[in-house]
Amino acid sequence: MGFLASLILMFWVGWVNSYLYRKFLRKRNKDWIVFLAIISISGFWIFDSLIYFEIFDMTWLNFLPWVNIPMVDGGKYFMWNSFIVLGLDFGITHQAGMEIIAFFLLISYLFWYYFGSKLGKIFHGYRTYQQGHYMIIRPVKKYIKDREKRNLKEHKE
Amino acid sequence: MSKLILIDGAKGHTGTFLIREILKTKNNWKIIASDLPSVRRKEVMSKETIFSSKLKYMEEVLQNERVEFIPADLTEPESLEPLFKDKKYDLIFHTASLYDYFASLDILRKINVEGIRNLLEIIYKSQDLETLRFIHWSTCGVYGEPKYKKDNIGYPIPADETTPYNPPNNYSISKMEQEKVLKEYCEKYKLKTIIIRSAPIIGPYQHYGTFHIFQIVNKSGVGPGIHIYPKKKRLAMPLIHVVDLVRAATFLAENDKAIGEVYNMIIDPCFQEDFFEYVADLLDVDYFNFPIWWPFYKFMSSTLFWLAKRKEKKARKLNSRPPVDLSMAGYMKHQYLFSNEKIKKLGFKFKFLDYKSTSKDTIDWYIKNGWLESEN
Repeated sequence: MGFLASLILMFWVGWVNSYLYRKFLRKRNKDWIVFLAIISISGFWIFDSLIYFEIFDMTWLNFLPWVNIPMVDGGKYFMWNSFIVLGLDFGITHQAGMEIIAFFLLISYLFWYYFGSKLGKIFHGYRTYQQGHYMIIRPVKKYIKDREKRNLKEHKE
Repeated sequence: MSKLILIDGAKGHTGTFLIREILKTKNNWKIIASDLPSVRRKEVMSKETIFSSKLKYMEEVLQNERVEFIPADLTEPESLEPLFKDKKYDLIFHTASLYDYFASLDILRKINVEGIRNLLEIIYKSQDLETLRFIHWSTCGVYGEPKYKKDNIGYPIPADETTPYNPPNNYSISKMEQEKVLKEYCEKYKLKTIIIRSAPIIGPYQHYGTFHIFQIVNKSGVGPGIHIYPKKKRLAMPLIHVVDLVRAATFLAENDKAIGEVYNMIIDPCFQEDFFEYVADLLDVDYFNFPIWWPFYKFMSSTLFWLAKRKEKKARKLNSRPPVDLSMAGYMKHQYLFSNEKIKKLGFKFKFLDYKSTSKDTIDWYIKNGWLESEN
């Protein structure tokens, strides 16, 4: 997926997972927050490593006229030039010693996922009844409708 | 000594606590309690049912044998007659008021200002003004945001009871006008009055006003950890526990030195940032520090206030109420810092003097009674 794109995606996946957890998964099992993190991060690690070590061959993308991934070290080229599919080719070629940087970038997925899920938690809430800071921008019409529904339910009880 | 006392607004939050306090501590006091008839109360006090229909005040105190309930409406003078017929009161606690930030100034004036005028008129005609004491509930809101004197480090010094009126919202305007009517009667007929200016009330059973703060923090799941810099700009959190408020009322009612005086009822000064951190702790929600420079904070709070204003406008269009009444959002923009020294000097001892004991008692009660949403 490319290192840079993966970092952004990790953040975004963390954000979305925190919403899915609060809205659908927490009521089933509170540990889903951990399961989601393990699934997402390891998924990205495995997928990106397979590309980096050219087990997945990304040169098939060369059918796109603006993509030109070299046949040698194509996986590494793809990983270092994240947005090549979008036509943004930085032309970064793999050099000796870059493995260490690649390793630290892969490790940093953890941080970006955590950062996204933490901000997601603030925005969406954590427990089933919470709404996070989304409450601030929540449309009044929706709030009033929910309140009327709840009052009616309470009245019946 | 046995006393006959009248408490109006007896079905309200403060009214019910006042009755409970008197039943507990004053064995010889006979209570005539009054409030709107149930149907009319439902109409006027929409704030009590609209946010949640299951939250109720402690109305069971009205069932006590020492309490006689007589319904009356302050806006209808003839309905007040049964309250005063063949009765000579020693004390009147005027807690009745429309405390609603969403209500229009016209309605607030009709109930709060015309209401007290009707009440005082019948008191003047039927009661012995030599012996009667009239304890009136007002609000620190009548001061608005005063021009504070500053201490050595530039932090504002709490404003005392001599601070001039500068009410920031319709409710406070109506309370200011109420005080003026009272002062008029006081001067004209030598009515013995005591005015209590209360900070926002918290405590068990409270479900409008500060309750919304706890509800929002609980529902959002994150305590707002805003730390304003420079520190001298930090905003205060004015609060008073309902138990102390009613204790102070009975204390002042029996104190000769209090007659003709005004007293602020507020806990010792505390900062909003400390209060919110503690509340987040008690509610077991996240809290993160967010240091912010004062001009940025002003911009941010003004934006949020603007958002709240839009929501209120939209809610009015939909013939309903917004999640938070606009004037409550005003607390994040202004410095409301008031002194409780005067009542302390008179010898009153607070049971809940700081924000920790005040909020802990309240939140523990909410949690125990399931008034705040939880997963249980």
